[in-house]
Amino acid sequence: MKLRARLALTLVALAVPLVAGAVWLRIELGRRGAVESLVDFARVRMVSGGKEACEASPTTFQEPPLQLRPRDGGPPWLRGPRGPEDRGPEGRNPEGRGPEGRGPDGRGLPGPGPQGLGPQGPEGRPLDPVGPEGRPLDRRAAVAAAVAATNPRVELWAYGPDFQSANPRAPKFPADLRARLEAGEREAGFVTTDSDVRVTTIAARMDWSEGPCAIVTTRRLDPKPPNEVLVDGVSAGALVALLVAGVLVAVGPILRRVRKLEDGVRRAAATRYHERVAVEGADEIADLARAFDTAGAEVREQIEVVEKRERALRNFVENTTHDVMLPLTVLQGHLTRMRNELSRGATPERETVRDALEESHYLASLVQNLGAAAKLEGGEPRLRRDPFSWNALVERVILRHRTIASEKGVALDFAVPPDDVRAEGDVTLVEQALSNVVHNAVRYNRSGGHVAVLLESRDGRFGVRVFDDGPGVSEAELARISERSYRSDAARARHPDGLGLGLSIAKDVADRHGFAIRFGRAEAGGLEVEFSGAISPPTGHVPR
Amino acid sequence: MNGKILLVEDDDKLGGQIVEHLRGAGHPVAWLRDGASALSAEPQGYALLVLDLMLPGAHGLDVLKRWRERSDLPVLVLSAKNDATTKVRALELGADDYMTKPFWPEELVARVQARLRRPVLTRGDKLELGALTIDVPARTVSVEGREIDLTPVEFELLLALARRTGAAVSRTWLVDNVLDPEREGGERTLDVHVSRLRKKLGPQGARLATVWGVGYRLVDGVGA
Repeated sequence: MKLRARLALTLVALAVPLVAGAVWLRIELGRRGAVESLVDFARVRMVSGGKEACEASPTTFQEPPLQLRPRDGGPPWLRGPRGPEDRGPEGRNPEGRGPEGRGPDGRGLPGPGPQGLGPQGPEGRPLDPVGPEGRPLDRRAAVAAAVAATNPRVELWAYGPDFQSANPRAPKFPADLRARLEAGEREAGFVTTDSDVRVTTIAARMDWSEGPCAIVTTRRLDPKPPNEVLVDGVSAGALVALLVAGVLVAVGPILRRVRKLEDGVRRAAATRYHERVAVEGADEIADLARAFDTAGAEVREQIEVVEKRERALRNFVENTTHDVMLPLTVLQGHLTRMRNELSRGATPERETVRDALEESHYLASLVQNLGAAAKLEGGEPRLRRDPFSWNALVERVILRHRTIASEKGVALDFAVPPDDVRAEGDVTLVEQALSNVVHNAVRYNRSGGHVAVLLESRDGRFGVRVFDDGPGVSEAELARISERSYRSDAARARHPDGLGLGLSIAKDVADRHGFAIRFGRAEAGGLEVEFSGAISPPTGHVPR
Repeated sequence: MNGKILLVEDDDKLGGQIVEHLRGAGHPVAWLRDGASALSAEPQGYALLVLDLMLPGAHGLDVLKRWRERSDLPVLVLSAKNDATTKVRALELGADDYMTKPFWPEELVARVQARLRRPVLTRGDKLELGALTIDVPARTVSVEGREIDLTPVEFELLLALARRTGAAVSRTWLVDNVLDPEREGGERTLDVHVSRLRKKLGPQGARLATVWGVGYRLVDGVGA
C-alpha cells in the first residue's frame, strides 16, 4: 500500500471514533443541560408561588392551568403513558390514542392544552387535533401545527411524598424516575426523542418533604431539532475529509524526497555503490539517506575486499603455476639423473639426492609462502590473535628444517627457556615467518656451517634470534631487505643470495603483528634476523 | 620396547611410508584407514595417536574430540590444511602437536619421539642419567658410584643442564640463572666453569656438548 493511502486510512481510522465520541458527548451534554434547566425551572416555579397554589387546591393544581377545548387534545405525543385499556383492539392505537386516554389507573398523563399541555377530553380522553377549519389533521400535520404553535411547551404536576398526585388528572408518576428518587437522588430526568418531538421529563423533590406538592414532575416538549447525529456527522466528516486532504497535500514534498532518495539508492546500487547517496537537509529523511550512504560505503568496501581477494587468488594460482613449475622441473631433473645412474648400475651421487631433497623442501616452502602471500595480499581485514607458545613454535620450525640441514651438512640448533614464552598472533603466519628465516639461513649456508635459533625473554619482551655463519649479505642488500615488499616482482624471483619471497613475508608478518624485525650481520659473519615483541600474560590454555 | 603408535591415515602411500619410518625408529604401529574405525577404537595399549584430519567416515577433529573425552594419550595431528583456524581448533580440542603436509619422515619421527620422550629418571630426589647420578638434596654428583667434588656453581650448572637433558640451554640463560652475576661474571666465566666441570666428570664430561651459537647441552645416553 502506498504511503498516501496508508496515511489517509490511518487518519480516517483515528478520526472516525474520535468524531463519533465528540458527537455523542455533545448530545449527551445537551440532554443533561436540558434536564438540569428543567429542574431549575420546576424549583423556581414552585418557590415562586407554585407551592402555595398547589397546596391551596391540590386536586386541580397543574401548570399551566387546565384550559380545554373539545377535540383540542393536542398532539398525540403529549399524551401520557397509557395502559392496555387505552389501546385499540390490537393493543396499540395506531395514532397512539387510547379510548380513555388514561393509564391503568385511569390517569393517563394528559396532553397539553392550548398552551401546549396535553389536551384531553373531560373524561381524560385524548383530543384529536383539528385544523383551522375544524377538520382533523393527519398526524404529521397535527404535529407540525402543534409544534409550530407552542414551542416549547412545559407542563408541571405535583405529587405527594408517596408519588401520588391529589389531582386526578395527573399522570402516573414515571416509574424509572420514581425509582431513582427512591434510591436517594434529589432529582432525576431523561430525554426521549421520537420521530416528531424531543421530550424532556424530570422529577424533583422540593425543599419541603411533606404535603401534596413535595415532588414535582415537569415535562417539556420541543420540536425535534434537526438530526443532531446527522448534522454533526456531516460536519465532522467534512472536517475529517479536509484534514485528510490537508495532510495528503502536506506529505507531498516528503514523498517527493523519499522518491528521490529511492532513486539515489538505486543509482548507487547500479554503480556497485561507487556513486554515493546524496544527503539533503537535516531531518529524519536526511538521516535515512546518510544511513544508506554509510551502508553503501560498507558494501563498497566489502566489494573491494572481495575483489582484492579474487585478484590475490588469481595471482596465487598464476604465481603457483609459474613458480612451482621451475623447482618441479629441477626436481624431475635430479630424479631423472638418479634413474639414469641406477639404470647404468651406478649408485646415485649423494649430491644429486641431496639436491633433489632440497628442491622438494624448497617446493613445499614455496607453496606455503605463496599461500601466506595470498592471505596477506588478499587484505585479510584482521589477523587472528590466538595465544601461542614461542617455545613450541621454535621447536616445530627447527624440526621442519633439521632434515634438510642435516642433508646439507649444516648444524641447526636452538635453545628456548624452560618456561613458556607466550605471544599472540596468527600462529600459521608467525610460524611461516620464522620458518622462512631459518630456511633461508640453512639453504644458503655451506656444508659445515651453523645456524642457531635463540629464544629469550627479558623485561616483558621476547626475542627470537636466527643467525648463521654463512656468506651473509652486503650492507646494500641489508637495507633493501627491509624495504622490499613481496608484492613487487621480487616475490616470484629465486634470488641467488636468498633474499626472496620468504624474508619479505617474514617482514610483513612481523609488521602486521606489531613485532619488530631486525636484519643485521651476525658476529660469525652471516645474516642475523631478530623478531621481538611483547610477551602475552599467561592466561588461559596456550597450545604447545 | 618403544610405545605402540596408532596411525589414522586414509592415504595408502603416505600411511605406508609413515608406518615404515615409525617402525624403523622402533615403534610398533597399528594403522586405521578411516575415521569411523578411529572413533570406535579403544585408546588402551597405545602410547600415541598420529591422526590425519581429512578422513572418510568421520572428520579427524571429531575423532580427536572423542579420544580426548576418553584418554590423555598424546595426539599428533597431520594435515594438509595449513590455516590457523584449523590448527588452533585442533590444538584447542587437545592435540599435542600439529604437522602440516608435506613433512619429512624424520621430522615426524622426531616429533613422535619428543612426545614420547621419557622424563629423566627420578628416584626420590635423585636424577639418574646413565652413569651420572645427581643427588639434589645432598648436592652431590657421582659417576658410576664415585662421588665427584664440585663447586656450588659447577653443581648448579650440571643440574640445570641435567634437568633438560638433550636440549640446548642458552649461555644467556645459564649466566642469568646459574651464575651469580656479581661474583661469577659473564659468559667467559661460564665457559671456564664448563671446562672445569668437563674435566671433573672424566669420560662423562664429553656429554657436556657445546652448541654453536647457543650454549651447552647435556647429551643423553653417552657412556650410559
